[in-house]
Amino acid sequence: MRKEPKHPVDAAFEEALGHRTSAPRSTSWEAVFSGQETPWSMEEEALIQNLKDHQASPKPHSWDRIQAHIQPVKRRTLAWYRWTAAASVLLIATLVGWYGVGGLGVRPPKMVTPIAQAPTAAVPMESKTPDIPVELYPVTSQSNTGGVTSIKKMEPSIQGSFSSGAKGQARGKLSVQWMPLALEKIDEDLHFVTLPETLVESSSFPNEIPMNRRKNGLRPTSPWSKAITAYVATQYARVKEGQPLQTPWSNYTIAVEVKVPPLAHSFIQNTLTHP
Amino acid sequence: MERIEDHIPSAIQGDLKAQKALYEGLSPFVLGLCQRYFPQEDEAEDHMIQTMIAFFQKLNTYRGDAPVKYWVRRMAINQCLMTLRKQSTFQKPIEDQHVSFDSLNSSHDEAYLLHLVQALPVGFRTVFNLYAIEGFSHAEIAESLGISEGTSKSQLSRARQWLQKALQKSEQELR
Repeated sequence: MRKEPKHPVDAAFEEALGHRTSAPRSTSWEAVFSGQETPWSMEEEALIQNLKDHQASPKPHSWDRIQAHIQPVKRRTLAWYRWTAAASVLLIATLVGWYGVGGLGVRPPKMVTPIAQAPTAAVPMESKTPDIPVELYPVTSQSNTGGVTSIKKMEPSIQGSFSSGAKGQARGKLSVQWMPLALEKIDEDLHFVTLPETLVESSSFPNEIPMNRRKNGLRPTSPWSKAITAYVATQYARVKEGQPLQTPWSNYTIAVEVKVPPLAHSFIQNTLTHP
Repeated sequence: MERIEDHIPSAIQGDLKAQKALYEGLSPFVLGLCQRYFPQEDEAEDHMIQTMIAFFQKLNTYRGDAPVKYWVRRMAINQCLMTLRKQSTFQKPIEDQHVSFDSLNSSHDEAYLLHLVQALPVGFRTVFNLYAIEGFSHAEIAESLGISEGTSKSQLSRARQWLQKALQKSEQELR
């Protein structure tokens, strides 16, 4: 059966009103079909104007509710900055502390001749403070190799034991050659010396180092630094008074136990081991 | 004279005084707008608060090419329409929406006129607000509410008839 085409008015009406198939109550077909709105009456104009200008006072607590929503964002941002700053400070402090303890006080090997080449007096370790004739010790000698013939040479060394902070990792012994050290002044009356340089290269013992060159020395609070510096001070005093030296510093065994992360082992070895 | 827009840079920086100044300048206007869409006082207040929160959160995107009042007005309308769309009030047939203004007290003050609009069924009220007060076209209303343009036109027409009757009644009572 052939479908009758819609009347143009019906089609236009449906297009205008969508699903509706009849005119709304009190709405003329003409008004809907033409799409023209009835002009606003005076009362309507007044109503619209009133409503446009309508304002109302919010309740007093409304601002508190808004503030509670917008302020946490600010606080979270500030907290983020604070945590970042705190973490940065902690990281820097850790690194500084680590390098201070971990051996930056040891100078690079290229700077001076290793003390191993210098004639050092060897006294058995059991002998606590053996007297060595001062003339045998090359503190004022012009030669690095002469002067010590009657005393058995002994390789100077430091024994450092280190252990890892990692659980289950074995503790190990690290034997390294003694290297030049730059020592810092720890007391007012104690002079800063570079012992190996003095022994090997200089005819005067010891040399005072200006303050501005004491950059790479051990930290004054380091037990290692204190022990060696105290020993140097003692020997220096003995030399000045014309007394024989005691056990050479190179025969001292210094044990340092530092807990370090496994990744830092190679760094420590490279730093402490003689090249 | 200090404009309300002058507080915006400080408010973006988190200055509480500037934020409060913006709130005090805009919230009466926003609340008045929300009251036209939601007759319940608490409901209108909630929408005002949600609008102001959105306003402060998006304040850094304000470009300043229009008065901030228009900007926040658009936010408030969107906030109201979002709720109305969720309520699916526009799916009801127009004939089912009961219209009565018998309970209204006759008067021509602002509160009465607001009450008059608030007493309209939600579909009539929304379309009337959007068309007559906000200045939306029927196409924009249809898109905003998810209805056809024809529905928007018919709802406006019915709303106007109802309002005219109510206004005539109040005129007669005042005489």
